[in-house]
Amino acid sequence: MFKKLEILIALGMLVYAVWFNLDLYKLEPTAKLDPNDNNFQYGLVDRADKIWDFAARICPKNITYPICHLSYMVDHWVPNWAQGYNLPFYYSHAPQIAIVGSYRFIQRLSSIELFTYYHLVIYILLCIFPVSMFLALRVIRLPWFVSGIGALIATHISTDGLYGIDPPSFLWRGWGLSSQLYAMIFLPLALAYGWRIFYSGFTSVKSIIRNPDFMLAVVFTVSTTLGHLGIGMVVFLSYGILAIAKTLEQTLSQSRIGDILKLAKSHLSILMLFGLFSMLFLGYWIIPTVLSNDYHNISFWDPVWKFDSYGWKEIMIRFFNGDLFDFGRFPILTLFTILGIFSAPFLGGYFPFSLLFIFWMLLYFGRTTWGGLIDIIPGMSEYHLSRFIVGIHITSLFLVPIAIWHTATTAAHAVPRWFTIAVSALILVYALPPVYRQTIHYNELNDKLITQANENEAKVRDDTQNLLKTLSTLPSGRIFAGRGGGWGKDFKVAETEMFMYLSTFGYNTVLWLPETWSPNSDTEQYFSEDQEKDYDLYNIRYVVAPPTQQTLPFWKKMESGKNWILYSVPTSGYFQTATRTMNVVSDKQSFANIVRLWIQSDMTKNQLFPQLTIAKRMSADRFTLPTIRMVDEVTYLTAQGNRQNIWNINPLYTADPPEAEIVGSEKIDTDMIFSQTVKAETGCRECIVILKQTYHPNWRASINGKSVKPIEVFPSFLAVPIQTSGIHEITFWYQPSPLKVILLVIGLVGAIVYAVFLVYTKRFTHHP
Amino acid sequence: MDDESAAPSAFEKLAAQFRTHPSRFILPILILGFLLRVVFLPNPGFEADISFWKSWGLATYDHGAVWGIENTNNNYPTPFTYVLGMMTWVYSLFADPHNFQEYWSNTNLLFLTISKMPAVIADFIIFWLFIFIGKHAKKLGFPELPFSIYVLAGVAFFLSPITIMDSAWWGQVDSLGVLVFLFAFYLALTRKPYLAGFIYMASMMTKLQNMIYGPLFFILLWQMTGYKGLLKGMFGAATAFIGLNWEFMMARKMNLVFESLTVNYDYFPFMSLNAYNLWWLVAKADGMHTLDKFSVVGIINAKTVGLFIFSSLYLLSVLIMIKETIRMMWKNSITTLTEQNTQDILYNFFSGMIIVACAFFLFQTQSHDRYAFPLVVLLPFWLLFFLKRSLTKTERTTLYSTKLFKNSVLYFSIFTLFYFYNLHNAMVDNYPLNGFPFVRDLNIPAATIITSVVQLILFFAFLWALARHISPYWYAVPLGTVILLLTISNLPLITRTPVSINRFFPIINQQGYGKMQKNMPVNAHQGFNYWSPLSVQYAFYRNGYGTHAKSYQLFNIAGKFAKFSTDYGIDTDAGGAASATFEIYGDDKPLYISEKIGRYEYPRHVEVDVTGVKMLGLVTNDAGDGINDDHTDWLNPLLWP
Repeated sequence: MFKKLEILIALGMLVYAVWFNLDLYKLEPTAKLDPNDNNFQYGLVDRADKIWDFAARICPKNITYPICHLSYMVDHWVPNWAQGYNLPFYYSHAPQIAIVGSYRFIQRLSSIELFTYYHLVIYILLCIFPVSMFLALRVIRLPWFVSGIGALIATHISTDGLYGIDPPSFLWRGWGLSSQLYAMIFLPLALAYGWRIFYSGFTSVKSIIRNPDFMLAVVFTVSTTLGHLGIGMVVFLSYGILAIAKTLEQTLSQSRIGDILKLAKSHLSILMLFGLFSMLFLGYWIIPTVLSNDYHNISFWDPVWKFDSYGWKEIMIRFFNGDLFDFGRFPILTLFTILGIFSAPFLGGYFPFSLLFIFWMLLYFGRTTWGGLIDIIPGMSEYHLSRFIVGIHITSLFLVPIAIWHTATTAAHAVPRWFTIAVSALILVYALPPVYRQTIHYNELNDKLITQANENEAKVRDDTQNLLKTLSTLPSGRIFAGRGGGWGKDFKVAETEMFMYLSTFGYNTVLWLPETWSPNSDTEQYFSEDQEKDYDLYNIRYVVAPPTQQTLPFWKKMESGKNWILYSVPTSGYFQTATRTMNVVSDKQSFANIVRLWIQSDMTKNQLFPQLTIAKRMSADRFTLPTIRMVDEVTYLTAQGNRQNIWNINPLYTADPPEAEIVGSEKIDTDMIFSQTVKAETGCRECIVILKQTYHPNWRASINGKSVKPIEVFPSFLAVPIQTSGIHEITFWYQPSPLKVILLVIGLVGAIVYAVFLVYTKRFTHHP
Repeated sequence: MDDESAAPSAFEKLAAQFRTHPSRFILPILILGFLLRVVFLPNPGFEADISFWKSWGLATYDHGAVWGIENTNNNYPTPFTYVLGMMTWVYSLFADPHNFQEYWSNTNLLFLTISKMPAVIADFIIFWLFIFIGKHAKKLGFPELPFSIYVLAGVAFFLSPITIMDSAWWGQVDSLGVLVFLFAFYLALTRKPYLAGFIYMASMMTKLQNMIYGPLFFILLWQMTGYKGLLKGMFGAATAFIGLNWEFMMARKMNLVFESLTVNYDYFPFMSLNAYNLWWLVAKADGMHTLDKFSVVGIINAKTVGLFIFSSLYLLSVLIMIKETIRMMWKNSITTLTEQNTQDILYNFFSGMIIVACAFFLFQTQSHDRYAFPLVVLLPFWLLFFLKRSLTKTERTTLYSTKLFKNSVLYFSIFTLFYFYNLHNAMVDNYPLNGFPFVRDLNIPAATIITSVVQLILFFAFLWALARHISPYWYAVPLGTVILLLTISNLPLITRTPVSINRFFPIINQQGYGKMQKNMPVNAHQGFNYWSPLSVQYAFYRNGYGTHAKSYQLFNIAGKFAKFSTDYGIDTDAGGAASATFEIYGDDKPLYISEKIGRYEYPRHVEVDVTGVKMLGLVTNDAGDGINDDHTDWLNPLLWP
């Protein structure tokens, strides 16, 4: 009877936690625009929606259709920013597919806009996070009431915007990290099932594979990773810690070394098996990403602390000041977290969460503390170490309920369970009000800002729609709407900068970097607004500026609205002919300065483009052209092995302009297929045709229907050499990685086989 | 008349009395110790420290701990400020701390008495602790030896000139720090892990040097109380840390706490701060004026070499402590400890503690003269175990007549003599009118060199003695570790690959604004929001350092390189008015002076021959128009072997 009452109370706590969020954040899905990273996130959703139709159109209508369609959904070109980039190839894509897929289904029932639907999804995900936490605490076999405590605090961590799993990361006035939210919803369950597989005493590979806990551990880990690769990394590293936790516990308990080694061996097997299964389903994403890492940029423009984190001192100060959990209030969760670290091992089996917290704290110190040592962990050198705060936050959500329960257990030693619950409830009565007050306080301004932004948007809606309508009728080209460091900062649609707003809704823009992974991200910043040749280089065909903005001589006014003027600038379009002058061999982090020298020279105007070869080592004799190899950002080796500095001796070779020209009009399909006709004269030496999209090996090309391998040219564009004179029909198209497709199929087949195996084994076990 | 029939001398009679009735001697010893201390209490001691205490204590008394630390140059661990505030509060019960003339007088007897009292009282309690342990030796896991030897060990500490000088004369709180640590140790012995951890943290917050003993202390706690005990101990330490800094936590001023824990690192970047040790020898008796950033082994500076030796010896200590536990775990799970197990653990603990204390004092640069103070307590404790382990049961019945005992006394006496001399010199170096005249006259470089050698020999003698009970092969571990670390660190020289100047720590480091920043521009010193890569007119670099004219960084490259190449320029984050010249000097001779460089110019590149150059100086000047905006960068600065 009492047990049922406890369950009822716990469920009541859960319902309250979710209801509280639903009510508090009810303005979130009403937003008409975003001021944060959600612009980028929605841009990806919008692009996935377009690709859905593109793939449906282009894929053959036979048995391969589902795989073909899926392959485009998981790997397509996103032209919105930084000269285009195949973001889904590297970045999370499953959430966008899920949103677009469900939207297309819901669209049959409701006329809701995709933008609103997207906001509704992230609103609901945030609100139901307590459910995930509640279930996770139950999975690790904590009492119902403790799980209720977990639900009550799940969405109430408070920081000053440290990119953790607290509301400031997700709300309108915050960072808009909806991708993190997709992952966060599965994260607690992934960790909880991880705990189960290492703390349930499995000894054989056979028994573990057949266990539903193992399957769920894999499912939730894969789901978390699909939501956000970085948060997936948090899970995988956590599993490493979960795997050693019991061994460490036994070592500290001074057990027999033989027993310790046996346990370590068994847990290592489980870990490897887990890694293998997870990789079976994630391999289609992770393996090609690793193999194509050369085309994933590490930007100079990103703040150093993002990659390196803040160092032990700053983090410990924040922790003890309460700023990691309790910004703006008494450090309640901080103190309970500390208590939890020491309580967990005494509650039986929860030591891994203490260990996890310490581990994440150490990792969060980052490269600022550990230097190059941290790069021993695979993947760390390009990871935003500051995001390890997620590991700290999620572990604390396990530790706080444990701490409250342990305190109550200690206080109510050897008395009935109802008394323990009563003591816990008493602690909650005192601890929760200030926690909730801060959440409410944070949201007050959030509501005010959403309302204000919506009102402002309503005032300019028609005017803005006119601009979008006009742009959608024009030939394709990139749009310049100012830059964040210039007049673009104040040129806004309500609360959102125009350059952000346009790219959010699928217009190709320049100079805003919501992502810096494209190899063009860094060098695009060397664009000079007053240099006509730079517009041509990047095919910036349109300028949208406020009426107050001083115009440049080569901007030609096209149309105007109340708050904007649209100009055109002459460019050659997305295609251009050029002469390949030399080869520059470089690793992915050493070509920015030499490209910048080239951008700011007359070579772009004279159609002279060096080839760029991303490699660490390459012998010069592979090339017939002059070749240099960059050994760092400024130093190069000549073919003769001489070491030179680019500021001392400019290594850029010059040549004659190409004896070839564009003769047709370009055809573009969804920014996935580009075609153009080019005429080359006899003796056109080292002639190339350039497509002004970021180079990636997944691009394919054909000349007159015959397949050719594209090369990379400065700054990081695609090109094909023209070997013969005459008229040539050039086509470039983005092809989803074949390796990705193969691994995707293997993953899907593997999932089916595993599911069948589980069902079969279960039946076999029940009816031997 | 032969020896056997000779009548015993008065000393022998006294010694015999002491052996049979040690308790009768305790009161006279206490009185003697008290009188000796009373004699020294009025001495102004280390006047600077006592003045600081007055200042920081008064600030705390008037405005509270948080304000006191934030608004003074208090660089002690934050909780110690309560001790200082308490001193002023006690003073205020008898006199007005705001009476300027009286309070700040360096002969203010009342304040001297109050400020020295915690250490003096600690001396008495530590002495009592020796006696208490002697009485309960078996229960506490100490060797069952005659009670008199525990009293004698206590006397060795209590009446040691080292102790009296440090507490009653100098006015330091080393004794208090040791006492609190010993209290934590006692709680560990009595299986009270939570309190042990709590008090350990308090000891660290009283005397920050106790931090170095932390790992050994928690290993002991683990060995004595097991896994759960270790956790409780760590919880106790965490509780103490939060409790003792609660006021700072509530004020969200934990930056003051962490600043106080780190501010002293590299505060005095010299070879030796009057500690007569390895580096005093290397500095040829001028350790206080020789920077520890000089390269001493290849391209590795003295400080790093010191850290390598210290870490390697720490590793040895840990191995000594845990080897027995590992051996036992190899056979079976450890459930209970026998009396012998406990004694072994404690013996290894004290052995480890002494190695760490010696390593800290003898091999680290920037070591203070007082860092060896804990040895005056640790050595007597260790000797009890050492004698028990080394002597047979029969020999133990005539312990005082054994050669080993006599050698032990001799060893401790030599240590006392030379270390007292070391402390005394440290005092009179600062206050030449203080000290014993005859010892003062001995304050000559040659004698300090001899003392350094003797103190090093004493450490190796200790290791030699310890080798009676552990295999000397263990000593290969620190030796091998040091060699390995030095080799790895010198790999660029061995493989002849270029080395970034960032591998060197500047011996002279001056600039017109901010602080030199590795791999970031000068503005990064303002905090993480200003962290960015080095760049000149948006040309980015991953390696180099940012400084600000007028800057002078001098590196000891020890004549190991042939060429120096670098790019340079004004950082992108500088304002438009920036302009500077860049200059390179080799052993004070100009090797290169650039023309005037402006903010919007591309980086420049230069290569200079540095063959045979020992001191490489990198200078940026303001180009004659003031230093405003002159954020100067040295980019990819490489030394070529």
